[in-house]
Amino acid sequence: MTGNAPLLEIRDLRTWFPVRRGLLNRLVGHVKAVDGVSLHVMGGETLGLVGESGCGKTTLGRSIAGLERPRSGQILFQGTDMKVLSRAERKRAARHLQMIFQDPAASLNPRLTVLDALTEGLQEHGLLEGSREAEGARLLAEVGLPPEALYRYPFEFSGGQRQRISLARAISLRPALVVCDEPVSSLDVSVQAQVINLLMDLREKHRLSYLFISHDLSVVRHLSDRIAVMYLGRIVEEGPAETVMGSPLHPYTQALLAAVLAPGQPRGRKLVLPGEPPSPLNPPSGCPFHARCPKAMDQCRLDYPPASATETRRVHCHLYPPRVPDPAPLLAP
Amino acid sequence: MGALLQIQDLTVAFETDEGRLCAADRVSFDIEEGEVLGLVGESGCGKTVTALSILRLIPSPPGRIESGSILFRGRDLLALPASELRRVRGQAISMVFQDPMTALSPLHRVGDQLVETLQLHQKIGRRAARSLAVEWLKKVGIPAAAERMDAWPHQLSGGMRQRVMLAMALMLEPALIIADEPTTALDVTIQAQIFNLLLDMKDRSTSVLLITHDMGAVWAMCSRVVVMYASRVVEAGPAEALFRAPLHPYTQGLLRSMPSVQAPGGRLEAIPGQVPSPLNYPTGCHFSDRCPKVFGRCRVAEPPLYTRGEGRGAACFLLDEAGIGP
Ligand SMILES: Nc1ncnc2c1ncn2[C@@H]1O[C@H](COP(=O)(O)OP(=O)(O)OP(=O)(O)O)[C@@H](O)[C@H]1O
Ligand SMILES: Nc1ncnc2c1ncn2[C@@H]1O[C@H](COP(=O)(O)OP(=O)(O)OP(=O)(O)O)[C@@H](O)[C@H]1O
Ligand SMILES: [Mg+2]
Ligand SMILES: [Mg+2]
Repeated sequence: MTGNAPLLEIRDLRTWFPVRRGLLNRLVGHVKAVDGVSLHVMGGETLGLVGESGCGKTTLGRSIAGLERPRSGQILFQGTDMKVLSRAERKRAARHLQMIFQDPAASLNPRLTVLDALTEGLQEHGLLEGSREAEGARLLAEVGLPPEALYRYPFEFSGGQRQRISLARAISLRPALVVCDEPVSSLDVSVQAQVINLLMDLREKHRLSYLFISHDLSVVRHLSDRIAVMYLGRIVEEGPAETVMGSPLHPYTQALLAAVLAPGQPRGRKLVLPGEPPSPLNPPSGCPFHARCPKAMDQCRLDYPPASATETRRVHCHLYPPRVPDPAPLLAP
Repeated sequence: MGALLQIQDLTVAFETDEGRLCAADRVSFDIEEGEVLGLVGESGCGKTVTALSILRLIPSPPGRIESGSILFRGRDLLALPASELRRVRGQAISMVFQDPMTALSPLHRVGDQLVETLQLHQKIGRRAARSLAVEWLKKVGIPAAAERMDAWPHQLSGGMRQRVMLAMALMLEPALIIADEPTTALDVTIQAQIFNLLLDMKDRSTSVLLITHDMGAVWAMCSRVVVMYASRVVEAGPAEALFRAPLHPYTQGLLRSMPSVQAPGGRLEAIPGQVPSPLNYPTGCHFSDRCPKVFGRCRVAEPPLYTRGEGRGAACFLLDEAGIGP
């Protein structure tokens, strides 16, 4: 990794799902789950991705991890476009990019023992040094589990322990980036903090980058260096965590923050947005947020707002004058 | 204001293949007139079981209310004849279930279900019931409410179904609403709408029992809090005081382990270990195997609820050591 080149760069990515109806299975439209997303993650950095249910967070994460086929756009990982690689090259590159899921069952095969789950990838890539048992035990120690766990099956563990095992598996191949999709959302509150701590320890020890997906703003704030806010398939605001959370620019980000319930926040009634997110099957014209936006103007119903950006921050909203930052940093070839 | 509902020493157990599972162990607390009371605790600690007991909805077998009483306006619901209990359900006390599909029939249109519920509990004509139902759908923030009356439950998003349920519970204007995780599956912006609605009900002197695992929601909504851990009440008190200076080490741990939107940060103070299995609770205090302040007595005897001023109390021997009597 050289100088200022991002570890991951996404350019104008679109991942749509076809919707078919009727006896003839006719194509009637597309769910535009990810609709023109550009983002980057630097080495060692954590980018938090927040937004309401159905806005496309998981689809974006899965597209990056190679689990969905984008319709257009580019995903550059360590400077290379994943699309132009041969199959073998892609497999080698993919080792450096892992994903863990909200439901650890999705990353762990129920029929494999923990030992198999942890060493499968290492064997596949010919990276196993020493015995499987020794490597498995070492990985378990990294996530705070005893070596006895090697010979048991995923269902024998609690949710928090299973999430530890999927983390051990994700780091087994020494990745540079881990896409974490709601990794603590299904955990007991008292266990959630343990896994958040573990995520921070592993990040420091292995200089990992995370794309950290969650709908919980407190968790995202705690873990992220930068935060991107997604609405209906698009990024509406992005910037350093403390500025996005401390002085949000986009009315949607402001509404999300106002709705946070946490000790120390104001008690009682909240200012609420009317309605709910529109369907990604039929996104409204103009700014996708206009129908719920307390500050909507005529222009918002017509045109999608271009970026208003500085070196570190970007917002898509007609309240702010369009602005492109000075020359974009050149990417390593 | 007096107590509307008094739960006293409620014990509920289930018969399982591995033996008797005690889901609620001598649970006691009151709900006052016109208050929002928070019942918090982690998954499996017995919140839903406690709530279902109030309306005698525990599936039996395998479940059984083994002992205790639940006084509603002075009458024991657990001893009420079936005909009177039916009148209490829905009319005086209504419940919003954790899973909205358990309460909505998939076979009937939303509007018909609302109208039927109204007519079951009130003397009201069909047309009047219909317009009242539309009005309530509007109040819970359902767009195009009149058209939505003809929708089938499966045609609505999870958030909308939850709000239909809420309309169904609210439109009878009960004295007590039991809301079991009414917003867990919902987005924060929708959650705010529903919480505002519950606060409106409170202002019309309806009492609300809000069940949640989210301490943030309790802080925002509740005047008083009851904290459960592993089938028992471990702490109770006014929200402000409980958040300022929690008494029980479990409540202290929960509050300290929460990440904050304001302060970024370092490592969180996590509670070690995990919630024990209900078939395997430790002897003595159920929190003893995870408690940073555990000492001799905690592992042998069960701490009673030691009470303090301002209606506070916690089931912890540390309060006894500090010279506060039970
Ligand atoms: N395989 C699929 N086929 C068709 N539509 C899909 C598919 N996967 C996702 N979608 C749709 O794409 C949109 C985005 O879904 P996605 O799961 O990415 O959202 P999300 O932001 O992760 O939501 P959540 O917070 O609920 O996890 C939704 O409308 C969803 O219904
Ligand atoms: N029908 C049942 N049969 C057997 N055990 C049950 C039954 N219903 C509940 N339990 C058990 O009773 C205990 C308490 O369950 P309860 O549903 O009250 O928890 P809860 O606090 O509401 O949790 P959650 O936050 O997950 O909703 C759990 O251990 C649960 O497994
Ligand atoms: Mg998702
Ligand atoms: Mg429950």
